[in-house]
Amino acid sequence: MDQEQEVQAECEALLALLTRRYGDRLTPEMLDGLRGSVEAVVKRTIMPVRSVPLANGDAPLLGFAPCRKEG
Amino acid sequence: MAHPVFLPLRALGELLHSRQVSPVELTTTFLDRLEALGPRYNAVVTLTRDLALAQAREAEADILAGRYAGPLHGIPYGAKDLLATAGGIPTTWGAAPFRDRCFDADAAVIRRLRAAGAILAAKLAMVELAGGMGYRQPDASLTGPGITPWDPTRWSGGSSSGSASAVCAGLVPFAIGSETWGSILGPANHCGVAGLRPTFGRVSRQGAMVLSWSLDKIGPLCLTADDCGLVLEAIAGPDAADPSTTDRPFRYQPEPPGRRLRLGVITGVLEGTEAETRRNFETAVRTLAEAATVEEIAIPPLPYEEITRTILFGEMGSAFEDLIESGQIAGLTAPEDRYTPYSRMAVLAKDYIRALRLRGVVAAQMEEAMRGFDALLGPSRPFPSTKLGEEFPSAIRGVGKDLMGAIGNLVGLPAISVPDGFTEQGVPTGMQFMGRPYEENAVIAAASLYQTLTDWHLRRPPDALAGL
Repeated sequence: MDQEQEVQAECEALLALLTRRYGDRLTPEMLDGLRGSVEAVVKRTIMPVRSVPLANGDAPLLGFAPCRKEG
Repeated sequence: MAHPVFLPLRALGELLHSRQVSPVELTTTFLDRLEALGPRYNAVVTLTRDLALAQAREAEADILAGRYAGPLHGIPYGAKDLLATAGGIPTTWGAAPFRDRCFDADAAVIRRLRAAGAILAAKLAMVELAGGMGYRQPDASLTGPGITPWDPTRWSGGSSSGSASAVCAGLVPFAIGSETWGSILGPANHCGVAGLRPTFGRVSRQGAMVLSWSLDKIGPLCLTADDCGLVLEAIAGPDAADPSTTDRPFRYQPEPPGRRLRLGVITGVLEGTEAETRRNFETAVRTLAEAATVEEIAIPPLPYEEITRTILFGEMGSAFEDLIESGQIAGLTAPEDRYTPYSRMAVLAKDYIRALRLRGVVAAQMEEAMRGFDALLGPSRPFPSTKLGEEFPSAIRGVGKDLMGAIGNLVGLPAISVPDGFTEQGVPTGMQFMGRPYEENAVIAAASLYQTLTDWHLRRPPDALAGL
């Protein structure tokens, strides 16, 4: 499978999962819209993010402090 | 004496402090305008007349007794309807399923403005759930599409729609909005007012609707950059109830820094920008170059918009998991908001974390790139207000560019939008000044400099001037 087919397969798998979970509440028109939205998320958002190389030490920028109450 | 409507906050404060105008008189004036003109722009969700008049009477007594609390004392304002309010005042988040929902306590920002003596006159309209559901056109709020006072057929921008249109039309002297990505700067652009997005963590979000924990910010919309500084000083500060807030103090410094400002323009920032927006921005840069140094700067090519979108989608899917899983989104106004959110549930954890790792890379890179600059310049939005029935371009949906919006929100940088001209159709465009973290004074100083060189911020929509 080439990369384009891989990406489309991922879209289909995610769409299948969403349809299984929520399909009974969506009309055919809404399912068409959801397909477009899933493809936009995967192709126009996730794939470009995955394409950037990262080093092992590139840590997530998170705001976090251990929770310690006095007493 | 000047008519109080459309006066900047300093001038209003002077009238109140010197007792030339009473808080009750002033509040009544704005309540009447909110009631009469608010529906014209779909700007108001709830008029808080009884509360406002009670607060105004209290302010009046305090000022008469010599207990003047500062520049916002006795001044009415409106709050975006995602800020919780007690006392039976609904907080709808702009969404029909929450039309009648009330909270027991005020949000931190409401409490801080109360402590500063400001008077809550209205809860203002917004795009449902702050636009996080993927709306594509303006009719996406329980109060109808927000309308810019400059043209009854065009959009006010979103999601802080009513906050911008109410300030623009002189319905309130200032308003509070919020931005996750574009929700303060966008409406400021479309309505021709000043809108300040503070540094992430500068203002407590306690009691505010969450769209995205690591992207949401609360900030003011006002007539001028100077007004934004006054309001920010009142609402900024640490809050144990919002762990994202910083201990770094903010004191507004309205005096110019006394040296020539150094401003930057990112190479390629105008890519995908509409022609009139581009023309007005280029004219504004030439104007600024008469009083400041303007240089072009390059930043590494990275998928900035995609990184920000991944974080937004991942967090939004979690923040609204209950609403989505329960099927309550079927009650939202925009048809596309009833199914698009399901796609956000498909963002994998590893992709979300990858985006958070890239956020660290971008934060370090921008700190390096912006070192020595007071602010970076760019159009506030890549396009002016669109027609009410039209789909609008949006970087959040991946159909439009917004380089500075993506970067600034991704790494929490402050930015202010001020008007920089008009299109041939008569709607405003805006210019943004984006600074390093915690440098709100620098971006306000740069925007104020621009406002001393131009008069765009003094133009008023003719519709809103009638009767004054």
